[in-house]
Amino acid sequence: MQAASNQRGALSGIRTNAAAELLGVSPNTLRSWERRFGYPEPRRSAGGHRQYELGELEALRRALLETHNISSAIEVARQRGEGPGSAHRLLEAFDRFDDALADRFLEESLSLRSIERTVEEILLPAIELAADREGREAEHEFGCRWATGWLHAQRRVAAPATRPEGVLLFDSSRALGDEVLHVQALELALRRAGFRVLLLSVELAQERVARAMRALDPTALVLCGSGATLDAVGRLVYAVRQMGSAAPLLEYRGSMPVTGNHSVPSLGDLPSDAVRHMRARIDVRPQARAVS
Amino acid sequence: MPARPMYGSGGSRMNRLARTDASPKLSVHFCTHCGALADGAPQRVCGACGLGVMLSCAPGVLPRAGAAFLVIKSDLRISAASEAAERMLGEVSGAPLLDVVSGDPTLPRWLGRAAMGSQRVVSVALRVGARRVNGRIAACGDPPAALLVLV
Repeated sequence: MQAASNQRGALSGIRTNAAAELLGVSPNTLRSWERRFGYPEPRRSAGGHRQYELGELEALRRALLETHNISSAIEVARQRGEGPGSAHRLLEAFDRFDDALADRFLEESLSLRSIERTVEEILLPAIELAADREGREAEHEFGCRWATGWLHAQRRVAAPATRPEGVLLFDSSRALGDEVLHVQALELALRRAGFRVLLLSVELAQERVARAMRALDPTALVLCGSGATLDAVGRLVYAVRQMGSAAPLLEYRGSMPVTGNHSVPSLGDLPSDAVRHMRARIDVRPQARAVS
Repeated sequence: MPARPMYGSGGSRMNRLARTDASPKLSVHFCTHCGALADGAPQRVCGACGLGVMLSCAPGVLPRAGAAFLVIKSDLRISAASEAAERMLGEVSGAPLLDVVSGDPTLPRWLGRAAMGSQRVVSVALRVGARRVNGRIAACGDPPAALLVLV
């Protein structure tokens, strides 16, 4: 953070008159916004002159074209000005139906963050923001389809498995949306953590599950998505146990179709939580065996 | 009292599939905060108050500078309110319009059409609390929205 603020201090800002000209307002208006809204917030030069950030001015200029009043524009600009590849900037790309822009925002994020952090801090929050807006279903759907493609592309370039353990994910998501993307993000995170991963539908027929079980020999089974029924879970567990597998059943993001307490351990709500819990479970087991 | 079209294309609602040059131009510019009026192509931010964005609407929709009006998006939320409207209604930006005004049951339909760019101007009878108010609905923008003038 200190380095970032030093870097910010080292950059030369834009003086008041030039900033006002960029926004098409008078210098007095710019100063009145600073007093009234606290934005844009200039630094002060050694001589006490205001120096504005180009990024803030550009975000505000674009927001002014998209809103109907100054306070809304400033709110939008504040949210977008969170730094490279923020969730709100990705949402902006969804609103423009611009996949190249969305790609670019995530590339910017990847220059600062890992894939896991980019997924958890930018991609999934942007999809949730898009889902929460009334009358913006088309933008949300575009975002979901674009995110699906992006996650698939990351999965294709993930390194081969480095661990012998396999994880079989059972997806109960029913429609394109946030839950599907959370499941894909989990699959990507587990692959990148070195696990062998297979993602199947929870509704698969018993004999097909059997073939997948033989191929993967999973160390853990994970129920994902929010569309599972108790009946489907029961059939699945029965099929797995019939094959002699003792792999534990785990759940991700509260996917067990029961209210209240149940005995199925949770992997948490985020891909990174799930990887941490999975590693903890698997890495502890050999020691437990050695003790017993 | 049912909504009454004042003027506009009239006749069939589907007489045009795309906006053409024959459509009336949005040629009066107004500030969403102080309601100042300007002809020509002003800057985006109002030079008079510095607190409103300059939008445009058809001539004759706004009765005078400083009028009371609301800018409403297609989801029927209030996107901006003029200073005069805020004196009448309080701080309403961001609120659902139907939480603030009531009356004519066709109001959402006309507002939706105006927000989608319909050039028809419609008069409606409204209630703001216990008070009766006449409203005028027209398209405005950019970005596209409905303008509800409280007359």
